[in-house]
Amino acid sequence: MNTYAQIINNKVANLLLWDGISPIDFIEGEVVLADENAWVGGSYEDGAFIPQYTQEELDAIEEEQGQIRRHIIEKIGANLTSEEKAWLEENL
Amino acid sequence: MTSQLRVDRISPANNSEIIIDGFDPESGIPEAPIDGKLYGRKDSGWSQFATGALLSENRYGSGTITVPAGAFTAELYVSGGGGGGANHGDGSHNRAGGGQGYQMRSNINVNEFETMNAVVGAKGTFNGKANGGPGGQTTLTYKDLSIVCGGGGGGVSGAGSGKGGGAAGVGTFSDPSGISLSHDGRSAMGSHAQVGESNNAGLIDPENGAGGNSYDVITIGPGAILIKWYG
Repeated sequence: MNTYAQIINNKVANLLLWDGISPIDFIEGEVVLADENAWVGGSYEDGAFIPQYTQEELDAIEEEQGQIRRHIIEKIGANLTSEEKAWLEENL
Repeated sequence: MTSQLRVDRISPANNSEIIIDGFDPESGIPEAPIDGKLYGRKDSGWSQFATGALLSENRYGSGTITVPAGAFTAELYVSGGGGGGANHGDGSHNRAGGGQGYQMRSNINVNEFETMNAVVGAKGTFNGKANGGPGGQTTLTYKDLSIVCGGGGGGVSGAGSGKGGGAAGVGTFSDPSGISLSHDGRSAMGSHAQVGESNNAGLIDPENGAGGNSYDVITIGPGAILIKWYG
């Protein structure tokens, strides 16, 4: 059973589980095999799903998380031994 | 509605009997069918309970479902897809669980060999560092009976401590011809606790419709249609 997207007016109206064989002609719109970029409410343009987040947005989130992590290690690390700080960097 | 009995005259008789004239049995509560099956009152008629022999139990994907031979009632379990959880990756405060898909259970009368139309919603997406995606909507229609179980909402990343749990799925039940014998439904929003776990207490079908936690995609439950057929 694979995940398919129901497309109505270039929008992903629903994500559904289907074997690709059983009759589903009662479903409105077009049914397309989904990929990891398909999400309910997302767009489908020129045969491709538009991901919920662009790579730039995900990079920005990751950079923000990295900054917060570094600040935490700097603040806590001031009171730690080198061994403790190394452990913190590895596990935080 | 209360049944009424019209009494024209009550007169004493021998051996303390009371004779009631003017009572027309045809105007009162009709007799239940005598066919070995269990019936309960519904509106002004009788409806059969789903207590016959269990013929089979099946899970279905999207497509048409044919009522099997010998089935007269069906117990339906319908679930929308669970929403994906959210993870912001900066500690525990901004995580959130996905919402439950709506779940409904109903007993209905069916006729063998007739068909139902089913659309089974998939589970929501998990993005690891951002908002979770909503779960897919599951619908089941039979004649003019319609059951719609919406997917749970995705968790919201970075909403802050105590916020961001995915919305509970919403369900609707429409039965204008009264072929159902009973139904109930439920769902819950995702947990916005700091640990970001989902909130899946009280699910009718624990295997499906569960909202995801904030850590992975594994815990997100897909939508489902489970039917127990009774003869």
